Amino acid sequence: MLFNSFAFIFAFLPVVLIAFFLAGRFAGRTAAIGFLILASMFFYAWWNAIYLLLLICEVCINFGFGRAIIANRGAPAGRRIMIAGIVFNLLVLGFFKYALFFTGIVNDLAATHWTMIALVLPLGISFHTFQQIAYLIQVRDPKTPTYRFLDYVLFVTFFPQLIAGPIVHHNEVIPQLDKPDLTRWNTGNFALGLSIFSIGLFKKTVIADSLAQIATPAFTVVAGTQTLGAGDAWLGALAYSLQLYFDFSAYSDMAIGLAHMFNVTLPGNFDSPYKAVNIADFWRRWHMTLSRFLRDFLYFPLGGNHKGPSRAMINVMITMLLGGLWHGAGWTFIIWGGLHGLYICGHRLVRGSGLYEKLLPFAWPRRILAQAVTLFLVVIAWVFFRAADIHAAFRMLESMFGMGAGADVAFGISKPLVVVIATGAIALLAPNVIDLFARFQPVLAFDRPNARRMPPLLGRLKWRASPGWGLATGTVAVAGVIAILGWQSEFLYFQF
Amino acid sequence: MDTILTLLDEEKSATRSARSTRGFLLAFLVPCVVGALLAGFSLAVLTSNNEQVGPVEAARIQHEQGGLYGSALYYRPYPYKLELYRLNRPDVAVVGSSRAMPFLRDGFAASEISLGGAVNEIAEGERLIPEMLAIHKPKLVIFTLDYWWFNEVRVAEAGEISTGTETSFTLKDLIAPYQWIIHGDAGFGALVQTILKRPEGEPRLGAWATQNGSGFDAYGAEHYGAILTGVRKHPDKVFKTTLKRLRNAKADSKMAASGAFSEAAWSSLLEIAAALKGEGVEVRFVLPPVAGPVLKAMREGKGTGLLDTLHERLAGSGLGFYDFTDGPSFGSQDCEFVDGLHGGFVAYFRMLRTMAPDLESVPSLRGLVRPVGELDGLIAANSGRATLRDAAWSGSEVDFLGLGCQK
Repeated sequence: MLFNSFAFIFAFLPVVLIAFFLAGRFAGRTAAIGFLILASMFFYAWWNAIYLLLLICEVCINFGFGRAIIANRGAPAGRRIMIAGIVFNLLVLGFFKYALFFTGIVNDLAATHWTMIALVLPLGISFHTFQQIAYLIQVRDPKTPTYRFLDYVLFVTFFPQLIAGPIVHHNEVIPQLDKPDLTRWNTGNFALGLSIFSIGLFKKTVIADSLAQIATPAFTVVAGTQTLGAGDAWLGALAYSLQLYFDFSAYSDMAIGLAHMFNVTLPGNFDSPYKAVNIADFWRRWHMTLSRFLRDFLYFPLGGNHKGPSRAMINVMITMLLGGLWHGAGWTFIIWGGLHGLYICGHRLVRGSGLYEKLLPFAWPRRILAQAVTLFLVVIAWVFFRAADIHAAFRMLESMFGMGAGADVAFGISKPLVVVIATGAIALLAPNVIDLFARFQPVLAFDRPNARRMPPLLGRLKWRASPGWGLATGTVAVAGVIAILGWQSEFLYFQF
Repeated sequence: MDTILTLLDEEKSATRSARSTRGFLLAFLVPCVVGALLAGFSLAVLTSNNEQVGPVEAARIQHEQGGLYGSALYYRPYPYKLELYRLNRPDVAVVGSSRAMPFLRDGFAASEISLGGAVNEIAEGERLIPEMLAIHKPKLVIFTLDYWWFNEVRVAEAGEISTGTETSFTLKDLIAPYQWIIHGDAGFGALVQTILKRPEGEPRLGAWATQNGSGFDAYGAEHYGAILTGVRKHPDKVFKTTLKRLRNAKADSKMAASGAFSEAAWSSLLEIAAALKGEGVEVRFVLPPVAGPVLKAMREGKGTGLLDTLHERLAGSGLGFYDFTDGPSFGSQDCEFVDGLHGGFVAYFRMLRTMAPDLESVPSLRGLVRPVGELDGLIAANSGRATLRDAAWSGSEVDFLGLGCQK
């Protein structure tokens, strides 16, 4: 079920909210949690009921692995069980997501003709697999308590974050399920959640889906054998960069808002990534929970930067290449990850060299230049992320740098250009959900080293449960709902 | 004491916060209610005007109950006309673009269906004819040809044929009723009236049928409704719009009547003719009329090369055809036109009257068209009009073109 669907907004959500709090009030916490699990499973099964069985099996098996690890904490068996659990999860993920891709590679390399049927990728498998791998690793820590089965199941299947994250840690969510007021209706939390959800809905249906109308035709042209004029190509690439940001951050906002309605606070997933001043900063702001996972469970175990600068670079490249592969079984994603790896390595080399300071002695032009360079590099990489194949990506890049034979059609003072400029201004200048709702801790606390204070005028734009904000968010919600009728599309990150 | 005061402060603050949250939620509801009302009105307008009736369902309803189908949102003549054809299995099928629509059922003695609007490019004809023949073989196909199909350099206007039969309202659709009101296509009062009391009598399917009396009758002929009765503004007064389009026509546009002749389109036409002949179906090609001032402007402008070449090719091909490009050549006049490129019912009766002797001379086609005497009677009673004096769906026709016609 899509968050941006009438079935979800007008039927599923109100029914589940009412039933959850009624169950909590009249039948107790366990009944309410049990109901929320069933509702989450219904939400998942709406897409494809068969894969619900897979999800249930994975959850039960991982819970079993977790219990076995707890029983063997400190013993070598505990580590072996953890490794077995991780391998199990990676095998399931690999089977559904990568088998076809790797069979193709083997066939190409060994001139074999193995066949593999193309499986439908279970929705959200990359997200809940990583979430459970993180749990299996962390559960070895003696400080991790032994959780109740239902709590664990809800931690994985909680519908706001089940399909596209944020990738939450057990210690972020499960303790919240134990709060005595979890199942008590909280009007303040509801108002907060409703506002964040409304903004997310607007970002998805009004902004991201409008940008898709510009990006998709451009990438469709290069997916054939044609190229575009430089203006149109940049318009398409920028539109996609913005579309992806608004689409995915919209999903995260909606997930965060929905969780608030159920008295749960999730970690933030986006912190205005296009305001980043360098590539490392970008990854601290973009898909923050995935970055955290890759850092904690891949980069650090590989040795991080503790084994010398060269090894650190290799570790970065491995992490980013696998991060790319996580997004999709295809060379374009691997190249995208590789490019980001190279960017980070490059940034590490330049960092501290004083290059920027020499070029621009003043702080604010330096900041703007740094932001522009970062954005430029990110947009170039997104071309690989979006293109149908490597050839299409290169055709797009050729077009962007004026080497294409195509002529500009949409460029100039046109509606697409206005849309890209307006949405770009929002992404670069407007406060994000974390800023807007800062007074009420919309997400779990996290470090924001490069966050800037909002300008005084925008600083006043801090949400509170006032009639003015009610009117504003209500209008945004209505626009978001009405725009569903214009075009209803899946969230881009569902495919990962 | 301090503790009590603190507690009281906290209670006050909690009350204030609860009140503020209540204010927030109430304010949140305001745009929701406004949005719901606006969307609700639109939905009520669309459903009371039967816009939810898809083209295939409309054809079925018309087959059983008659009525008029004029959807404002879902103009999909291809599936609609094909369904009418399937249900009626007529002896005579009129095929072509909107310029095939004015062949009224009253002109025929045998069963007839106009599939006008289903073929807007020759390629669509290549698709439609096999589908038609697979359903049923008529005795006669009257195939109207638009000269612009044969323009070698023209950029086809039609995209993929819209064959969708389902209807589901989108955002654009919900906005549409407000646009109708703003543009004067429908009155607010009339829309409200339709919501409160649906029109009685034969079904009116779609907003244009309900509000303006325009749309397709149960045999596929197009009725123009309110623009002929002067209720709605006519878009082509004194053929001004058509003439302007003609003046501004580029070589690759629909209005260009001269230019390189498309051999590919001609081959397609021959294939269509062969396909019909192969199935034992007689076909007569028709070049429909253009209004006098329009034809004059074409001749005085860049010429009528495409029309001339098409005429020559048809004449040399041995295919049965009629060139009705010039109205006066078959007794018609500008007052019998609906706009610069579309003749009205009476003009088409005249065309049928011209074709009748030839059709009667072919044994298999005998009795398909109404007897010449009856056609003459119809023409005499309605001369100078676009529609019939007592035709269903049309009110009292006025001089809608502003030509000074006596109606």
